[in-house]
Amino acid sequence: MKNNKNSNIISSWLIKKGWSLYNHQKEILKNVSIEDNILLTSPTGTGKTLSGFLPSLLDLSQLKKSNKILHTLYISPLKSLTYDIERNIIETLNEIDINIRIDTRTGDTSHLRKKNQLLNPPNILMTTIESFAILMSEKSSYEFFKNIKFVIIDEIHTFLNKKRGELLSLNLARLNNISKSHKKIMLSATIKDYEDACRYFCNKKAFLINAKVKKQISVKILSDIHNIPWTGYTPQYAIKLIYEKLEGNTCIIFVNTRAQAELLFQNLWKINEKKLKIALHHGSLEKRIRLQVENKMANGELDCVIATSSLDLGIDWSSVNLIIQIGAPKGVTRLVQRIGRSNHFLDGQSTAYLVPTNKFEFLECTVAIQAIKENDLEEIIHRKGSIDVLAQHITGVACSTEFCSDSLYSNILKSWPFRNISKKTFNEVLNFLSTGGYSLSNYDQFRKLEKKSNGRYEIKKKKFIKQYKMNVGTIVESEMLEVKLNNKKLGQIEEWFIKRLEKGDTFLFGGEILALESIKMNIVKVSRTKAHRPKIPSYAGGKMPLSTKLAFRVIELINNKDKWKKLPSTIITWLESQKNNSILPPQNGMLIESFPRNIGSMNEVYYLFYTFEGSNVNQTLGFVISKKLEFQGIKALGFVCTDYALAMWVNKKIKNVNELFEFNNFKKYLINWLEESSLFRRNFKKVSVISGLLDRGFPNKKKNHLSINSDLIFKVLKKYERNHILIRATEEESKRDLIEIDRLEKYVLRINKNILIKNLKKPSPLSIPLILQINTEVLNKDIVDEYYLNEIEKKLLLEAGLK
Amino acid sequence: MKKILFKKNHFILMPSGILYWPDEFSLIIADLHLEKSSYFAKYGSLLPPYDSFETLTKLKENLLKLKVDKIILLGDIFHDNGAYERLERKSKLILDFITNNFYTIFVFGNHDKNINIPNTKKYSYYKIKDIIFSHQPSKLGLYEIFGHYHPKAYLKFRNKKISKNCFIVTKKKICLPAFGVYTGGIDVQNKVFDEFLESKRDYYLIDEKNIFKFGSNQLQSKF
Repeated sequence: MKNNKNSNIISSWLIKKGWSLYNHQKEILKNVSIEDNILLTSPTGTGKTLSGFLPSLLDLSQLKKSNKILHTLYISPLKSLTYDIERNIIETLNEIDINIRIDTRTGDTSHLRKKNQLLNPPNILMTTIESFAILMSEKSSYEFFKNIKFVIIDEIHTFLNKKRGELLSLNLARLNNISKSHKKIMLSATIKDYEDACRYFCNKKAFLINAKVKKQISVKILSDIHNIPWTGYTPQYAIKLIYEKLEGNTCIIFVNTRAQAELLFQNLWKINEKKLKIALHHGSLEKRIRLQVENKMANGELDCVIATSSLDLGIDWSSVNLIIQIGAPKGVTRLVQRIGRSNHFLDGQSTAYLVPTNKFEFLECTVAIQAIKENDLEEIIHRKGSIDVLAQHITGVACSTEFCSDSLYSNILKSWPFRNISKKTFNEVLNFLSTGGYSLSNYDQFRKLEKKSNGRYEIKKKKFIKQYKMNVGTIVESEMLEVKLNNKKLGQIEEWFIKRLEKGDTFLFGGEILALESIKMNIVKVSRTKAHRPKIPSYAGGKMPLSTKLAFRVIELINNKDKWKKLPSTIITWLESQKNNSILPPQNGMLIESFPRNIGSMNEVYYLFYTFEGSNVNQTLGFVISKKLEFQGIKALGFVCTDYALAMWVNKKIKNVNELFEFNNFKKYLINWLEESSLFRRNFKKVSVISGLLDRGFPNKKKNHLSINSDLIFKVLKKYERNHILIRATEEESKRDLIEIDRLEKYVLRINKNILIKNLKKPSPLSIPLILQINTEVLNKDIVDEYYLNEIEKKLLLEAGLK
Repeated sequence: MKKILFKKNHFILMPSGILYWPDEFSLIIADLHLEKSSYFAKYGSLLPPYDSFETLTKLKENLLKLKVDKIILLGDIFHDNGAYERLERKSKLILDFITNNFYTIFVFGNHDKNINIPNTKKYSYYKIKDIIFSHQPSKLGLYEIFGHYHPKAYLKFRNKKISKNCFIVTKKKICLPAFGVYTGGIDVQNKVFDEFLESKRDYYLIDEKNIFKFGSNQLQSKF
């Protein structure tokens, strides 16, 4: 690309704006002609998306007008990002004055527009990972992509090592076969290991450009230190402090859950005397409403947006100069990325406040700030490619073209996460897609993937192609129901949440208090209500686990009294009172507390295991202990974990707690448990949907005798085909969810001689946040059901005077 | 198991979903939905094809534990009218064993009205001692035992939702749970039940090994 003329187009535009190219932007332009793959990393908000487009725009500006070839594909993890980038690029193009056709393609794009794009490709197409997968499954995918010059992949850190990343990696490997000469430009926020990130999407090293832009970040805790709550996830105690910060700023308030967003929105408006423009943004809201908020923010019409992870990614709102994070930051990298949303003008200083919502979170926020100062980011945990994603990908390939299994296999090996997949597994997946992969081979007549006489595979039936397109994607949401107010769509709500409500119950949605009227065919009808506070608050904590890095730092802080000086007196009192009423959890040992609790007529004993090893380890520990208890004739009725500890309630006192940690048969217990667990069944459902065994449940789709419960299938499959590929896929998935099994083993060995058991009469100060946590993991469903059913029946009989 | 009195007759409700009538040496079941898997396979969901074998094995095992002369099948024994033809050999053998050894009444349902099961007598409804055995109930005040609805009950306990298939028993009606291993259920709070059931109802929740009795006021609705 040695055309000074066009470089001049760019530079004259920059001069006009009074800007100059950043060093990393110059470097991209310099290296793009010699390098096939470039990874540009920079802190968020340093104009990196535009940098990614520079080479493409330059190249395009040379092309003749009315060119109908797809030149550049932009892939982003979020729909809203594609619109935002489109808006920015169009603005830029208008200023540079070159005529390039740009379009977006997401799940929201109309059928007609999609069809037109195929017939009449835009020069630049902005799309999502899933829509790209569907494009690749089109019969015309070869024609569509064969002349492509640039693929720009944005925000790769958000899907690296996740199933979405796997799906993209597979499709990119296939794109390499279709178009040999295109260049990939990957964009990422700050992460720890860049080389692996490149291999993940290009199967080889890429040229690294690190934008060494130092953004000044000042991070502080914002908290009413005398009133920090014991538990819960609401910042209500500090609401006035938060409100005071908003005036005169443009602010994003990040929260961890939708419920937190709703509550905070409502409560800020209650005290909004200055009539600040405060808006709400989360993934459950109707698209139209979300877009309105995004546009208003882009135009500088808002003072504040309260957002969940729906705004985690790089929307370029240059006017934002303040970030407030409510609740635990969870991870250093994530926090850095969220803070980076502010001040997209590079030269300014970013300000961020962390608002802890309970005492534990205060500790977490304290150590997170320290970690940011030391630039101590989390490692990325690597995982191998999943079988269900592979199955989905092969289905997509079969929709677009007939293929020979050997060449497809060798192409799949070029996708980094799948580089070690065995031919045997590959063939099993083919078999599964053809006839189900059962040893009872009676589905020949219902073949999905047909094998032709020349040995090649293909999907011919239109209904199966349609089915594939409906089911594409690797995220299996909990079932969503549509919320309607007088036939106006407000958005979607999780089935598990609405299930707990009865007619007339009030809840928060879209910033309003609504009352449940009826539920019919996946439509939730609601009405407005005059109630001042919702009956059902729903404060579940965020599901994202705390990084163990932060957990480690927390226990270090607890055990280092010198560092307490920096803490407010209320936190010190809390830790002191733990010390007086129980003991402080030691750094190289484990504290176990027990105390009785009566729930209704049921007497239960609570046990708290303070490991500080992160929620994955605590979860695994919970499973193993409950299995061990079964052999002692004790029923573990449930447990909750946080990153700090595991709290378990059982039906009677454990005689020998120490014995629980004799881990000779550790792995045996784990595997035993795994197959009976609700985690396994949940994962089976996900795997079934992603691999194409079951259709996704869609809102609006009528449920009838045609729907089928994955639990029932799982039971039968496990009994008859223990080694079926989907059971193996579920097993791998579940083990991944319980990562760090080895780490737990090491931990137990390490603390074995240092278990401190404290029998208490009532909950200790440290345990309170834990036992109130709602997020329960139910153990073996059948055992618990039976126990509770017996108990309920007994209670009823007692009440009726029959026993 | 739970004993009940229905129109002055003793019946036993079994945790497997079987209704047993000891005085008549009769066993009553509903909604096996055999070959649901292969029906799904036609539409692209290649479900494990073992449901018929599993359902029939479960029936046979439970059957042999009881003193039975007569079996009353309350309809939707097959998932669709082509299902009998798709039944594989192993399953067919069990079905033959059952129909050869026991006097079998086949009351057909909406899913299997065109099927003829060999060695069975086919009825649209059947009547003993003024009790009507049918797939679906009539709305009149008759004494009826039927299936069709796959009733499923929901309980809430400490924020935990428990759902189980169940029998519904009223003064004049007994609705059986679905017996097939791939059959789901509909919430007993659904309005459809009000069309033919009295308001005073007992629910017997089953889970293979146990059966538990509840009244209407203890149940939750699905949503």
